[in-house]
Formats: sequence, C-alpha cells, structure tokens
Amino acid sequence: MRRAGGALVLGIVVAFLAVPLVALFVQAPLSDLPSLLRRDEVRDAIWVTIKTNFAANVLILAFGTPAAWFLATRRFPGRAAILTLCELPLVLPPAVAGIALLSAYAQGGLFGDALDSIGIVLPFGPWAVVLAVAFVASPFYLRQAVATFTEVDGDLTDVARTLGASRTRTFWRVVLPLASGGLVAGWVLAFARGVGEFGATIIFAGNVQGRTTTLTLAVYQEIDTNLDVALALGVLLVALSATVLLSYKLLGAWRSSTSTSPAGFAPSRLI
Amino acid sequence: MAVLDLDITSRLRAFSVDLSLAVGDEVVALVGPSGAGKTTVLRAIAGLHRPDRGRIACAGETWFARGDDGPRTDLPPEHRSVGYVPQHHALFPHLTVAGNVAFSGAGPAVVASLLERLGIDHLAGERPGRLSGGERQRVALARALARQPKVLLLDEPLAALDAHTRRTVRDELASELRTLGIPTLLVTHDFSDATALAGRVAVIVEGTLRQLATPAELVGGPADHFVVALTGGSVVRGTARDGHVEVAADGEIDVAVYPWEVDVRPGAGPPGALTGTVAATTIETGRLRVRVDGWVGEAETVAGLEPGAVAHGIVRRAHPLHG
Repeated sequence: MRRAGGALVLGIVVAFLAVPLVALFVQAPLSDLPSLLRRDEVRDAIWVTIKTNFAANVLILAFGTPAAWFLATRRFPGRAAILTLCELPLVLPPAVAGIALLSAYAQGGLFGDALDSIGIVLPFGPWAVVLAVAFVASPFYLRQAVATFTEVDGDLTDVARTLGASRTRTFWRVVLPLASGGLVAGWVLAFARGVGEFGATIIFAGNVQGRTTTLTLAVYQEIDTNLDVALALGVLLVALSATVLLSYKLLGAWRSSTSTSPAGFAPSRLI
Repeated sequence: MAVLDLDITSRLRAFSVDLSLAVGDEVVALVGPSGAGKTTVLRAIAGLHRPDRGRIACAGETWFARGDDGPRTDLPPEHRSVGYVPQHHALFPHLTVAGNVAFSGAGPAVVASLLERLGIDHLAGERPGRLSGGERQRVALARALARQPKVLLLDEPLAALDAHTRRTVRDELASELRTLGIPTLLVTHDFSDATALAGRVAVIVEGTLRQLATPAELVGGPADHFVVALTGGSVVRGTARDGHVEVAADGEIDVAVYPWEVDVRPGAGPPGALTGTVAATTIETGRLRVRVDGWVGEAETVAGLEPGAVAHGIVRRAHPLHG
C-alpha cells in the first residue's frame, strides 16, 4: 500500500515536469520547424546568442580560471567573504542583476558617465548582453573551479616544483590536466545558465533585434507576434538544454571512472 | 666533508623547529614521533617551506639565507637540486610511469636506464593507479633521481606499504641508497627502518635534535628516556661502578636495558635481577618478547610466563644514559 502511494506521488512529480515539455512539442508545428528557424528574426537571435555567449564564456574562463586557482590555493583575510560574493549572483534574482548593472554602467550610474566620456556606452548594446550573461553565469564556473582546484593534491604540485617546473609550468602540466574534468563540468553549467539568461539581459541590454535579442528574448517577443516562431524557438532551446544536461552527466560518469585521487590515500601532510 | 649544511629556525603552531645539521655523502634518518617537525625540515630544504631564520647550503651554493639583517636568499624549489619523494609518493596520476620519470625533462635514454636499474622497465606504460605499493615507491625514486639531484629527500618512504612488502622494499631501498652516494635525508617514525636505511640517525622531538649518532651509538649510549623508548629499550634503576653501569633496584641513576640483553625466566630472581609481573608475551621477528611491569626482555619458552605470573630478568648488559 505504501509502495503504491509512493509510486503515485512520483508519477505526479514526473507528470508535472514532463507535461509542459510534451505540450511544447505537441503544439509546435514540427513540420514547419526548418522554415520557421530560417526566418530573419530567428537567425538574428541565434547569431546574437552565439556572439554574446561566446564572448561571455571567453571572459568567464579567462578571468575565472586564474581567480579560482588563487582562491583555491591561497589563504588570506577576506577570502571567505570573496567566495560568498562570487556566489551571490546564484541567488540574486536576475532582474535585480539587471537593475544593478544599469546602476553601475548606465548614464547617470556609478561609472556610466565616466565610460560615456571616453566613448563607451554599454547599456542596450551587445556588450551589455555579454556583461549580463557573464554576471549571472560566472558563479557556476567559479564555484566548481575552486572546488576542483582544491581537490588537486598539494603534494603533486610540490613534487613538480622540485622536479624543475616553475609555478606556471606546474599549473599547465599538472594542475590543469588533473582539474580539466571538473572545469569542463563547471563550464557546461555556466554555459547553460548563460544561454538561458533573460531577466538581467532584458533590463540591462533591452530587446533590440540583431543587437541584443537573444534566443530567450526572442521567445518572449514572438509570443505576441508569431506564436509558431516562439514554439519553434522553444523546441530548439529544449534540444540544446537536453544536450547540455546529457553531456554534463556523461562527463560526470567519465570523471568518476578516471578518478585522479592517488590510490585511495588521503592527502595528509605531517607538520 | 659536509655537502648539505642546514641551520634553521621555524616557528610552527605548537613549538619551534630549531635544527642544525651537516650531511655528507651519507644517509641520515630523521626519527621522531609524528608531528615532531621532521617533514618541515625536508620541505625547508626543498624550498617548499620558508623557515623564519637560518641558512641552507648545498655544495657551497646558498639555497636559503635569512637572518635578522644582511642579504636574503631564497631559491625557489625548481632552482634547488633536490630529489623529493613525499609520503605516499605523489605520482602524477595522469602520466604513465615513463611520463612521471621524464617529467623533469630527462631524456628517453636516462629514463630507460633508471627504469631498468630499479627493475620497473616493464611498467613504463602503466598508470600509477595500477601499481603496487612497492612499485610506486620505485617509480617515485626513479622520478626523483632523473634530475640527478645533489640531495635526496625521502618522507616516510615505507609508510604507504603493508607489513608484508615493507621488508623487501626496505632492503631494496637500502642497497639503492648505499650505491647512490649522495646526501640523503629520510624521515621516519620507525627506528628499525632508520637503522636499515641510514648510517646516522637524528632523533628529533618537538623540533629539536635530541641526539645524532649511528644506530649502535644510540643503543650503546642513549641521550635520554625518549631515545631509549624509541630504540626499543626500557629505563630501569641502576648504579655506576668501575666505569660501567649495572641494574640495581635501589640504584641512584637511570640505566637503559634492551630486550635482547635481558633473559626472562619464571619466578622471583636472584639479587641484582629485574623482577615483576608479566603483562604480555608476543612473538616479534622470531623472538619471544616478554613485557614485564616496566621493562621488556626475551625468553625461550612461554612456560611459566603467562600474564600475571611473577618473572625475573637477568640483565647481561645495561647502558648508561648520556644526558
């Protein structure tokens, strides 16, 4: 009896999560999908999404990786506060992120006038999308990268140094190969969050076709003008999300099968 | 001639490491309880720990110098010539055995000859995760030697091994270290490992050197109670007479006795013998050890030496403490 009750509850949960997705595929004009996805507004949105997310992800990896390594290997006053700050965008409502970015970089904002005076106007342009995406998505990468770097056995980097490798060379030849699985896992999550970005983008970057209208913004816009296009975009994003989730899972399985921990010894260190 | 010269002071949480040591082309074991600062000494030599004060020099080259005034030197680890084998060996899990040994930039010929010399050439393509404890130890040693270091540092080289393989690996390591002929410092908490591997033993407790001597000298004239306990002996009361010491229940000094020089027999003994109640009997490396109240001896049979029985020990030789 108890088992049947449990199965029923599980069924409700599964239905709740699956029904909207099934409905999307049922409602979407699947046979018209190719032609719908070739429309100008869709192509623009795809292109804006690719460009802005590429730039944002480059920024996240280029700044996030060394920052995470620093946070993982150094102990300094304020470290815990910085770690918490890095995680803040995870819990911050995206709309708040958008208005915060506006307060910082829009005209009349904290740095807006200074940027304006040297000819840089961020809001409502593609770079605003990049900043919004990087702001909300970077914590996913940072968190995972710090955790992954912390796991790398300090004895390995110590030995590498005594074998003649400089700090930089040790990082490239020992730390990065060992951390790569975890870094990619973190990056996949950041990428997914970035592609799904909506709230901060629409407030900080607006909705300008061909400049700031990403795929998610296009869905919102096409609901009013052409529902079929919105549905087609929905199908496209579901496919993308499913691919990301699947590759994340596969990566997790691959990582645990090629564990980097040395033969089960706890990395202990005598004083 | 001393090749490695160190004189360092380093404040740790509970105490201060304060050590001065000159090592020639020999193997010196740093022995002491866990947390005595032994690993800190190795790490300081390797450049992985920065002492508060002192000097480390090797073959005339200053690696580290820091005083209250004067110029400071602190070479990074990659510019010091050390072969470092940390506890648990720290093999790079993402590289093969050959890749580990070649990490320092050693050419294929050097790598191949090292692998052959240490008997691990058949493992060249294996990943560290698939190796046994003894094999990992040899790979770590080969990797450390590939850079032809001026100093070799081994941290608890046998700790990661099970008791079964330990003795074999220890014998192999001992003969390898003898043929190397470079200054070697090894850390261990086990005195028998130290005697098997090292020519001289430095006993370190809470960061300070208690005694530095050959294993035979340590046993013959231990500095204090701790050294006696470390070398497997017991401290009992005794007297000094005519330049040598002997056991005496009402003696005025402490003397050291070692199990292999105490014959344990059942019953109360003659005057001058140790007496007491048997606490336990164990077989250790083929000998029957009997632990009586405050001392340990050896016996030929357990008959009459059950725990709780009264026993006595005839001391063939007692040793003075050179405090």
